[in-house]
Amino acid sequence: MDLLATSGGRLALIAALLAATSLALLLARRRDGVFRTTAPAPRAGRTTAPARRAVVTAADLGRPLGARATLLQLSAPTCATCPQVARVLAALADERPGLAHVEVDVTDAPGLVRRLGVLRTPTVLLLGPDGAVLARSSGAVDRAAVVAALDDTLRPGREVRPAPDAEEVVLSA
Amino acid sequence: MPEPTGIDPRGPRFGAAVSAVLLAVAVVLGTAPVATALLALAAALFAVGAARGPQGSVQGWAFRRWVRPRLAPPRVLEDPAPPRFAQAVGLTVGLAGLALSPAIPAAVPVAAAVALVAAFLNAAFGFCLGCETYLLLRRLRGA
Repeated sequence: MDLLATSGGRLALIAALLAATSLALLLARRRDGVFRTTAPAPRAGRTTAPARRAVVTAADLGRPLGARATLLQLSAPTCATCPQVARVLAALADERPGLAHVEVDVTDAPGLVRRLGVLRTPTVLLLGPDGAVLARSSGAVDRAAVVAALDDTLRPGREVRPAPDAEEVVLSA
Repeated sequence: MPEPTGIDPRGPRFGAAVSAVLLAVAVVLGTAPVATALLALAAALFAVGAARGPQGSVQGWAFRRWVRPRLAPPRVLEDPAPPRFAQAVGLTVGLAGLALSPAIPAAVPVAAAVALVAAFLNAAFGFCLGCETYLLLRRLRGA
């Protein structure tokens, strides 16, 4: 292409390339921290059989699950976003009895990563009391999005509410 | 996960901006010998950063010497491992371009453009290359 043959053409191409990749990044970031509930996958060829969600067990994690819910965070040593997400989730787990925060380094859990189809870090999975994956999000999260996912996804009667004194601490902070 | 040992997060982003400028000039110069020299320089800077971490890189030194004194102290500190990984990826891309260039001259501006995109997105938007590519690279290596 003649455009590639001149320095002016190459400069224009760089500008267009950087503009396009910037736009792509900003659009992709809109999905960061958005929790998508995982619909149970139908089993092929057997529409009458009960659908199954992926399940993560305490044995998979080497740690016990939360009695009512678990926020499972998959992190990597090369992940700049992971420490701040861990802080947000750990704070929530401290405030809410029965809610656990478990952080797993993907380097140590390749089988889990493969089974869950994790492609980027941080990925946060909301597990029910039985370890079923109820919702997941990737990228940076904010506290409000996690709270909304906890309240929306867990079945009525099993929501994980803050302990009364923990809520007061949050409000007065 | 280990507690971050703590570097000013603006340092690596300044370093990425410096890399981006070098790489942009390399792309504009196309397949001229100077372009290859600039890509080699960028790769050398990536090599220092990958080996010693962003705080040990040439850009890190320049940041501490000329930029940070003019800034307010950092509000948070970050782990140097993610920027160090990004430097290693940049080094790999640069070396691939240089290695292919005798056979395929266009490999130089193409490799420079790939590294430029990553460095630019990091500098401008704090894009975390390690977040997006660590698992994909492990899959490629068959892990």
